[in-house]
Amino acid sequence: MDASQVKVGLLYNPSLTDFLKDNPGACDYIEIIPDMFWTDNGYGKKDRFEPVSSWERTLDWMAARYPLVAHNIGFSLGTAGHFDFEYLENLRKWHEKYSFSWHSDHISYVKLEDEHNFDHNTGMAIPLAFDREVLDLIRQKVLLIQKAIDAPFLVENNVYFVDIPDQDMTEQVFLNSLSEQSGCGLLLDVHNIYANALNHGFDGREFIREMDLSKVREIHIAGGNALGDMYTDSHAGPCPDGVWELLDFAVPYCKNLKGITFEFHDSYFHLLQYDGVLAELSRARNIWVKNLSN
Amino acid sequence: MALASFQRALFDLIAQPALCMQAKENPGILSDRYELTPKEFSRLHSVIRQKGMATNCTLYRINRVTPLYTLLPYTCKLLGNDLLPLLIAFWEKNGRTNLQFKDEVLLFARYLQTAIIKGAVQIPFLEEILNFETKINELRYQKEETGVDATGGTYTLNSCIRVVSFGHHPQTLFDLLTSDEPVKAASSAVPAGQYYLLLEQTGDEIDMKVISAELGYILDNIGSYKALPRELLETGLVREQVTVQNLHTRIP
Repeated sequence: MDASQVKVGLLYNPSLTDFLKDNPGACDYIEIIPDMFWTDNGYGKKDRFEPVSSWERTLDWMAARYPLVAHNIGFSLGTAGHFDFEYLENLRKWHEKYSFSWHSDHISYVKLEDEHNFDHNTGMAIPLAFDREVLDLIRQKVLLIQKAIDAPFLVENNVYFVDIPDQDMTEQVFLNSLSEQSGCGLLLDVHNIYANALNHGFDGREFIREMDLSKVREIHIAGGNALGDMYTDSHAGPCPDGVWELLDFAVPYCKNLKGITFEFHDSYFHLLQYDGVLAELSRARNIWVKNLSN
Repeated sequence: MALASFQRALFDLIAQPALCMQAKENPGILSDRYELTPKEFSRLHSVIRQKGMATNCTLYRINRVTPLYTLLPYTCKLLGNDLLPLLIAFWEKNGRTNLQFKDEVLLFARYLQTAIIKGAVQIPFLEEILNFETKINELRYQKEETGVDATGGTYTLNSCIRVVSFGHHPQTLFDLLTSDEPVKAASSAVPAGQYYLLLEQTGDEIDMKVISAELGYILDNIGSYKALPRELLETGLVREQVTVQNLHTRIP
């Protein structure tokens, strides 16, 4: 790998629209959450996914200038008993249109189903137990996604605030096994590891050491803040030092890394401004370049 | 389906802090309500006692209030301290949501509108501001091409146009809402009267202007008119409904 293959990206939020226009070339790709660009009118409805016109115009503008990456939230990989084929078909069509470099989703569940309602959103990514039953459930869904969409699919390690006791395996073994059994890649969210390590008292480096880092295609970096007794993954502005240290530690082992993505929530743009966003991208790029020779 | 039931239970405990408290006192309600294996029961029993559960409950509430703060900012400001109890009642009634911003905001706006009509919520300016923000959101989320108005009148507003009726001077009211001044204290400084604000979507922007009371009244009640002056039709604000009946009259 040489320096030309070092790619840093931004997770799109509305505060970045002007930034991207005013700073062409600041990042190498843009990651989008496709779910933000449409209104989902509900499972089984005709014209279920209705693009929001103004957002669609922005997306088309970005697509004409940058490679795009899709970071999904709607597969709800962990939901027991249901897989949303309509959502998959819609993403397949979007992939045809936008040629996403890769797709990803989270190891969690955000939707629940009951007898009559497949659209119940949980309002947050709820963690899963790292059990064989859950591994099998997600593996089957990942295989379906990979069969339908001709692009790499990655799963992201989640943040969690409660420990589910008596799990069949550790999170690292779960992720490694899922990747091994399904062929999916890994999206290593370094900030989630940082948050979990702080909240649950483990060593983030030790966690990373136990991951199969050859499967990592993308890394997420972000900031967070405290909420009561916990540190959250709120994407609150710049990355803390601990995240940069973990990134520096992980990158040399991620031999198949294709991108490092900086995520922040638009309500924290005032903490960053243009210079702050540029500084985070530059720091991520420098860490990767520095480690190329390692 | 034990796993599905476990997932439902964990969600319910996050979304309903009262249930969480109840389950701490009486864990038996978990096995009464949900189909759980002994292992799943024991997991929930542990989870509800962890400090992270309070974080989960708070994050759930933050995520549900975010669409409202984002898309109904003035309404939320006017509700002030009344917002939280109203939200708790709203969430209790609407526990199973798809959390699409458009739907969540519409659902809450309807809920609040009903509360206003019933007199359960009485706050100066609230009704007109809620109406204003609801129409802004209609424009924001409408498709590029909208179909025929289901009201069946002869005329309808152009799809990129909305008219909002105000009982107070709109600009003075907006100035007050964007200032740091407490709204209640300064409310007498907002002149009362009948005003109409025209909202027009052009590209990604929504332009606003105060229009005459005469024009505002016509546009606000457009569905009830059978004939309109040609000058008004030429403004582009109004369009004739294409119904089967008037299609017949057009076809020679």
